[in-house]
Amino acid sequence: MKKKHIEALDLVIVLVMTVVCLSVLLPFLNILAVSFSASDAVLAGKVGFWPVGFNIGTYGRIFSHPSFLRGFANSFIQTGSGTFLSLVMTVMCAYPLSKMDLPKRGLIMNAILFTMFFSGGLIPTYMLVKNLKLIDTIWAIILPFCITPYYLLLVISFFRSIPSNLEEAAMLDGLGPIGILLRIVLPVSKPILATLFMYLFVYYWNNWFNSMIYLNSSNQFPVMLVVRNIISGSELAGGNTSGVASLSATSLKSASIIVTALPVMALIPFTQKFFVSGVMIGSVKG
Amino acid sequence: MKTTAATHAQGHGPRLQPNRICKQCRKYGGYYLLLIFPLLYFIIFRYGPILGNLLAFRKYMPGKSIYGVSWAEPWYKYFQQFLSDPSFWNAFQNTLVLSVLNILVSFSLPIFFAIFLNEITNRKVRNAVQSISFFPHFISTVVVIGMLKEILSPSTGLINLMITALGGQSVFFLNEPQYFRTIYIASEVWQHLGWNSIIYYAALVNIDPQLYEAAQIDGASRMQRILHITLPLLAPTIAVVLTITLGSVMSLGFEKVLLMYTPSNAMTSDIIDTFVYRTGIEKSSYSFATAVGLFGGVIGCVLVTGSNWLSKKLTGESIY
Repeated sequence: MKKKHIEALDLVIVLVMTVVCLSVLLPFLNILAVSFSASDAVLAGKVGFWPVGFNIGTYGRIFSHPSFLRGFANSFIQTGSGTFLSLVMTVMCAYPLSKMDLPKRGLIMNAILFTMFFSGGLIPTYMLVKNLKLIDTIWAIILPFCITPYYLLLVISFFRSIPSNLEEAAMLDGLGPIGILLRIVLPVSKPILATLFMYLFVYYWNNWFNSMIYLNSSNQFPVMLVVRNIISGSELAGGNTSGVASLSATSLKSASIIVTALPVMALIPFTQKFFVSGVMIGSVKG
Repeated sequence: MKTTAATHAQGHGPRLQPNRICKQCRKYGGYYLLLIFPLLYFIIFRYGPILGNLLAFRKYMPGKSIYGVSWAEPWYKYFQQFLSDPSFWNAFQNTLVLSVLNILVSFSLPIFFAIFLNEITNRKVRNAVQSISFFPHFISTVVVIGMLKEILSPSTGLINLMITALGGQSVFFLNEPQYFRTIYIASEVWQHLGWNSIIYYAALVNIDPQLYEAAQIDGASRMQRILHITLPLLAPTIAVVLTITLGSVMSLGFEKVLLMYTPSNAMTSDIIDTFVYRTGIEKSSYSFATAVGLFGGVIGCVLVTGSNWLSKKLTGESIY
């Protein structure tokens, strides 16, 4: 009797988990298969989850595609500098605010929290960036977004959880707040910094909308925007070889999807632990 | 920590002795030095745009001040304009319908997923399943919609290949307004199911295993243990997440909707955010679009504050 019950539940669990995993993996497999297939097989609708007429020509085309390569380089520059700036600014903001006795702390915290509830909105932000003459520069896509209040709260609550006797000892040794931050606090904050790094890297790498409205010249476009333009058809997938382009457009789209998703996908297995702990830090804050 | 806070609370009254101020300087100067750039950031890039909402009440001239050149006459002119615009009301209605449907589906599924995940006894399998379910969360919306377009493509897409193989007619899913909501919600579930389940999973991991052992000794089946131990202990988390989610009715995945938007599915896919984008950025009606954005922003703010208050009231916990 009891055994039967367990088996029924197990069956449901196995079924649900299989469905979830397959629904995640199969679309990727399909896109992967299409990207490695010959274009006539794709057009004839013969490709399922295994490449038909295996070839790596589409990847060769992508890596010789000028705007794609430049996009990749731009993405790495923008993601790198955006992530770095955000990390530095967030830590600079979070450390003083983790000191509960800081004069005017309450006022500053409330002013920051307010921006979580009510933000300026798309058009006022756009007008401001335009007015500051940042349009078409890398600053337009990293400066306005460099501190996210939610991540700031995560870091503040982490800093608050560090035992204060470490810092007090350093203070007695004559170290100032900045020295303590650099030498004592940051070295023990690796888990939260790693979490933040991943959040920010993913945010900047995946970004395309800000680039679309704030960047005009196509030689500054990050790869996500290039891919978006390839997918929406406003940029010719085949580049200069226009005659063949339409034939293998589907394969090219698939290959560009795979290639752009790779950097983030490659990072996930290593950082799953950090992501989960990051969410948990946020959830126990109360 | 608390005692220092108390002693200093008396210390920063309005009438400070000069030497006290200096003492404060020495103690806190470094902290404020660190805060200079972050505070400048908040003033310029967070409060600047908040002030920029003034444009909703003012006339804009290209090349002149971003806060407009003169007051609109009457001051609520742009509000009147969009409130009498049927395409605004279409977008407003779409936002509410899509959001509520999305919450109904996307809120409940992660709870079951987390419970089922927790029931997997093999640690390696559990971690693998969890990793796989996280995957799509980190994928760019561009890539997700790109894949969606490929798979739903009327000529070469997997779904339509299956439909035609079964003798059906191929459907251009992304162009048909009646499929938009289903596709959007399905893609949201696909993308965020695993991620949204983390908060429940974290709560489940923290449940005392002795409770389960005791129940097992009493002869409770696994199903009974889920119903009488897991769910009740998960209830506070569920309540917090639900109230907070209800507050986010106005904030849909704008970028995803924008990528899925085509003029032919606009009837269901135009939401307030895309309406603001089209009228503001694409058509340069800045004052008008600012007014619409402000309207949506204020409703959103009221909902978030309200749900947060409710959450605190009901469960003693809140996100902010």
